[in-house]
Amino acid sequence: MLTIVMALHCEASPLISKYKLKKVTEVHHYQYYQNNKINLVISGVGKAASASATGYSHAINGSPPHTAWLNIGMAGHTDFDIGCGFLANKIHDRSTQQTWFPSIVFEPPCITDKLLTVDRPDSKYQLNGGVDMEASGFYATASRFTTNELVQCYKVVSDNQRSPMKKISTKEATDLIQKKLDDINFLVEQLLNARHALSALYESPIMFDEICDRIKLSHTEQLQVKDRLRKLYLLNPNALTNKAILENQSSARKLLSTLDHIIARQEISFP
Amino acid sequence: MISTIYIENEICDHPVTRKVLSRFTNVNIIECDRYTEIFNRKAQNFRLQKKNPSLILAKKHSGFVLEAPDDYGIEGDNNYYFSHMLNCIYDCRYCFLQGMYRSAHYVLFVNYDNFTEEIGNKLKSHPDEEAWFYSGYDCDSLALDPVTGFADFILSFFRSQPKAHLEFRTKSTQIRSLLKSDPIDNCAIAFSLSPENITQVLESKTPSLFNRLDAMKKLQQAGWNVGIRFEPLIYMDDYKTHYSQLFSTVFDQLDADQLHSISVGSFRVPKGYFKNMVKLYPDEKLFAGPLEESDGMIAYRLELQEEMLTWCSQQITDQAPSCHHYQCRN
Ligand code: SF4
Repeated sequence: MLTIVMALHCEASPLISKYKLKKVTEVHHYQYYQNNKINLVISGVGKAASASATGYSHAINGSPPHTAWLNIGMAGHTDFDIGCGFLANKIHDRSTQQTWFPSIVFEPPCITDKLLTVDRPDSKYQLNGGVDMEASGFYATASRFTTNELVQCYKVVSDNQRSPMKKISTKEATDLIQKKLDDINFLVEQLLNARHALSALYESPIMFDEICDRIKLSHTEQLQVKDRLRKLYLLNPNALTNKAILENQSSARKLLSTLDHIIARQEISFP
Repeated sequence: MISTIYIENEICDHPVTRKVLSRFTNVNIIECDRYTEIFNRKAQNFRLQKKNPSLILAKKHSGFVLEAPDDYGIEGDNNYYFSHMLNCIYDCRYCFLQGMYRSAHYVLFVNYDNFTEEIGNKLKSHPDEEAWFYSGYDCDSLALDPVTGFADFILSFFRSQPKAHLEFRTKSTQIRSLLKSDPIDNCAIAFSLSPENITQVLESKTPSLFNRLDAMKKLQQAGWNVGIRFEPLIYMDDYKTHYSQLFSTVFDQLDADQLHSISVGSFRVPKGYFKNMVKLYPDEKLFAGPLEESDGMIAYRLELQEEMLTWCSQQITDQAPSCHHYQCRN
């Protein structure tokens, strides 16, 4: 799953349409949308709101490992044009003075730049980079739940030194995000692919569930059996299609010893 | 292709930093206080990062030159190693670095002077003895040399230190700077070689055997000492076929009489690193092989290790009888 955290509904509406996200009515504390790959939560403005929506989303999804996270929203910028999208490569929180460095492991579809998270709207544009109000709260929280590479912040410039901050209408906010859907979709795909590749590595090996149905295994034995099945599969993927392995396995010890014998007989080659 | 460079604020204006940056166009530069903020942080995935590693330019503060592990040196008693870089542009599946570091980014320590200063101090502590210094323990010595220019720098120091011996350990063909300078007797360039199938399957992004041999020949012809490291030996049922092909190709192409040294060594990794490696690459066949733990190290079963080392050593002795330094290490 990828969870997208956005401050305002007007920013999120282009994504809700694009990904045909359905409102999850069972969730009452936040506006929460979902399809089979993506969750989207409307956090409200500010880093505390963003952090708590992130934590809440993680919890209601059953805290799965290898989740991907994307914060999308508006930012001011010293000199980028209004409407320009950028990915944060460094996030600094002005009040706590903490810094994070998102790890971007794909060729980004846009510029990357540093981002300062402030507690109150700031129109001074002192930092040579972007300014927002959510990223540090989001990032600090999401990066507790997954590996750094799966947590990204994408911002669209809503104001800059030349056109300083004014109140943006909901339509303007929607339009700014709408125009960046290609970039956003690219990021969504990259994060989903990386997440998928990672979680596929840790799926239970073939035959494991069947074994668990037949033999009662302690936690340690489960790990040992998984390890043997993984090895056997790597050495000879066909070996695990032979259900005869499971015949007459009355205990975990016997099964482990059978698997060890089969593993020892496999050919070791590097084609 | 490096697209992001992190730079510690303290060394933004260091001459090496400026020189390195001049080699790049179109990179994102991100300033940081200490490289450890990026390199050592928790919750990073080496495997994902390896797809697009960044370069981190940093200053090293201590531990410039360390005593080499017992089985590392092949010469005298005074063996040291140093690493001007952490991590490597290649992606060998057996490499212990992927189990040792949380990050796959490359760290380059730009304060080169401190390395030579510390090597000088070590030499002073052995006034009448020779000492060996190995580069390329935590990286490949030459792979990023066109960017770092480190080989030139360190060679200029060793040129005036006849009692100090330098070894570059590499799989790289980046030998231009070596070919441009005059060879020195107290430096050897040791190439790690594996059978073709292992290079293809387990040594991702490295130059082919053919290209490594070509680089070795050029260096030999230019008068440099060239060594061979048949390490790590990888077990396969038909290892004799693959390794004998390797040995015949190598000794066909190179002048064995001129070789500085040859060594062989088994695949061995500290248990903790190995666990990390398996966690990162649970789909790697190498780790499903006949390995076992002994004294905190993961290695092939002892009888297999010995069989391979003995057989390979014999083959090498038969094919390169005159190579004056030959050590069998396990
Ligand atoms: S060349 Fe050496 S340092 Fe680089 S990945 Fe391979 S084994 Fe590791």
